[in-house]
Parts: sequence; structure tokens; C-alpha cells
Amino acid sequence: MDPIDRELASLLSVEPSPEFRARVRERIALEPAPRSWYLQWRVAAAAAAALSVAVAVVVIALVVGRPGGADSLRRANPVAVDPPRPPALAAAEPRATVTPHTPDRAVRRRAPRVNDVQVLVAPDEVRAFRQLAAIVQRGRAQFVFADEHESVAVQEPIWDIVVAPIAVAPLEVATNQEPAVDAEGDQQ
Amino acid sequence: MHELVGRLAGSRDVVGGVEQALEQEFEARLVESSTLAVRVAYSVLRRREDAEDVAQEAFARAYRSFSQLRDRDRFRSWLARMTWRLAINRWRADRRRSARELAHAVSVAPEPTTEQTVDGRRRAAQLWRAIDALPDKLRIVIVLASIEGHDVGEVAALLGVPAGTVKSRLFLARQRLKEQLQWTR
Repeated sequence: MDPIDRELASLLSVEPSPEFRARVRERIALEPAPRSWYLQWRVAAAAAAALSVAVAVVVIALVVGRPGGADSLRRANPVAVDPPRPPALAAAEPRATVTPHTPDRAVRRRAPRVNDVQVLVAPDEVRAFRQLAAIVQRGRAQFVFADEHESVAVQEPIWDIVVAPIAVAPLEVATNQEPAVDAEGDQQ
Repeated sequence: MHELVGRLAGSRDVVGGVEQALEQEFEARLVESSTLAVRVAYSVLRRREDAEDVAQEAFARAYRSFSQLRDRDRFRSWLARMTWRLAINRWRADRRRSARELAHAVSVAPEPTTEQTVDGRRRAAQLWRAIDALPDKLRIVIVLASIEGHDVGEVAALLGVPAGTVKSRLFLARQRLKEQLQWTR
């Protein structure tokens, strides 16, 4: 053993006093009893399960409450959408309505009334029709019918076009001057 | 209903039994580790009363989380480190340390002749000063190696570091202590 270690060992050879353990026991008697890890684990597992159930409930409630949320959950095969009509068409009856669609109350779909006009769309044209409806809904296009908006849809034929008479005149051609008499050509 | 009451009573018995077993285990740890805790604290504080206070606090904390410290080695390792930390904190907070060193030297040294007492005091003071000059990492290693005759493996287990690290730190600590003591002679 190193001499330094020996000296250190002798310096540190302190024994706890006889009342030390008694004081520790007194101190820990004031503490709450230690719980086994097994019991803590069970409590933690129960808390985690309750928390996960609560989170699931909240998530489902949020999804259902979101516009279109329940629709996306319940409707596997969506059908045609009823677009809002532009003002030009709104006045004109009969209303062309495909199956009505209300996002806020998406769960219940309104049954068509008797005086509504239903447009039957061929299954292979549903997609195109829906795109058209979406374009109109965004205001990027507008339905215009010839019989209601003639000023816009049908233009008057233009009759007053006057064609100026064409005058044909002979062309004026400029004449060349005669060459000088005593030019080089005479010498040759 | 009777069955339910019986089940509840049974589970209470189980819980009570588990808690009693924990109490008994803690008592065993207290008996076998109290010297370690007191010495670790003493190596920093140099005063038995302070060391016992700190060790008592460390045991109280160990009791609070005893369900996770039931393994003996884990308990001792945790206790040694916690005691060390608490003792360092206390030592840093205490501004009257030099006076306590003097009081310690009187209480620790045996009582042979006056000359031996004076020499022993001086030597002890030198050694403590040399230990104080060590960095914390080296100090805890050499202190634990000097307590209860711990070997390198035991110190490594107590500190939770590799044995090679303990070995190199021990070497460095001894070297520095020797240098310090030569300087002060």
C-alpha cells in the first residue's frame, strides 16, 4: 500500500457515532413510506391508459366537428356537389340542382324537393361536371345563355362597312437624259 | 361483494408486505453503508457532526427513491455520489472552514506526546491541503480508494466509470499529492 494511501486511510478512519443510525431512522420515519416500483408502475400504466383514451376522444371530436370531417369519415363514394349559383343564374328559374351538399351539416343530406329540377349526370361525366361547378363557384367562369343576355351573347351583324372605291391610274415613269455627243463612245 | 372486499383486503396485504420488505431492505443498507457515507462526507467537511448531517440527508433522499435503488451496488454508488455532492455544496457554502480544520486535527489525532501531536497535526494539515488542491474528479477517486480499502473495481462501480479511468485518475492523484507534499515539507 502506498504511504500516501495509508496516511489518507488513517485521516479518513472516522466511524459514525452510535446515535447516527438512530437519527437517520428518526429522520426517515417522518418521510412517507417508500412505494414499490411495481405499484408505481401500475399507477403509471393506469394513468397512461386513461390519458390515451382522453386523447382519442378529443381527436375524434375534433375530426367530426371539422367541416367535411364527418363527410370524409362516412362518405366513401362522394357524389356530385351542388355549387352556389352566380347571380345571373340565381334569378333564372328553374334551378338546376344536383344533390345538395351542405358542409356544416354534412351528415344529413337534404332530399330533393318536388319542384327542384334534377340534372342527371352520366357517371362518366360526373368528374367533368364537378370541375365545371368548382370553376363557376370560384367565379372564374359564368353561365351565359343567349336567350337571356342577347346583348352579350349575340352581337348584331355589322352592315355599315363601306369599302372605298379603288382608283386605277397609270404609273408615272421618269425619262432618262440623252448622253453627250462627244463622249467616249464616239471615239471608239 | 364479499369477494370484492376480500380481494381489496388481499391487495392491501400485498402492498403492506411489499412496503415492509422495503423497510427491512433499507435498514440493511443503512447498517452496511453508513460508514461509507459518513467518511465520504468527512473527507470534504473534516468535521464529524457536519459529515453526519450530510450523510443523514443523503440517506433520507435515498429512502425517498429507494424503490429504484434496491440493488445493493446501485444503492451504494448512488449514496456515495449523493453524499459527495451534498458535502461539496455544504463545504462551498461554509466560509469558516479553516477554523474547522484546526478543530478536526485536535479531535482526530491520538494523544501521545506533545511533539507527536504537533507533528501529526502539521502532517494532517499538509495532506488536507494537498487533497484540497486536487480537482474534484481526482479527489473523489483517491478518497473512495482510501475508504474501506476499496480497490479499483469497487471505486469504478461506485462512481459508475470504467476501471481504466479510475486507475489513471488514481495514478494522477497520487502523483500530484506527492508533489504537493514534497513542496510543503
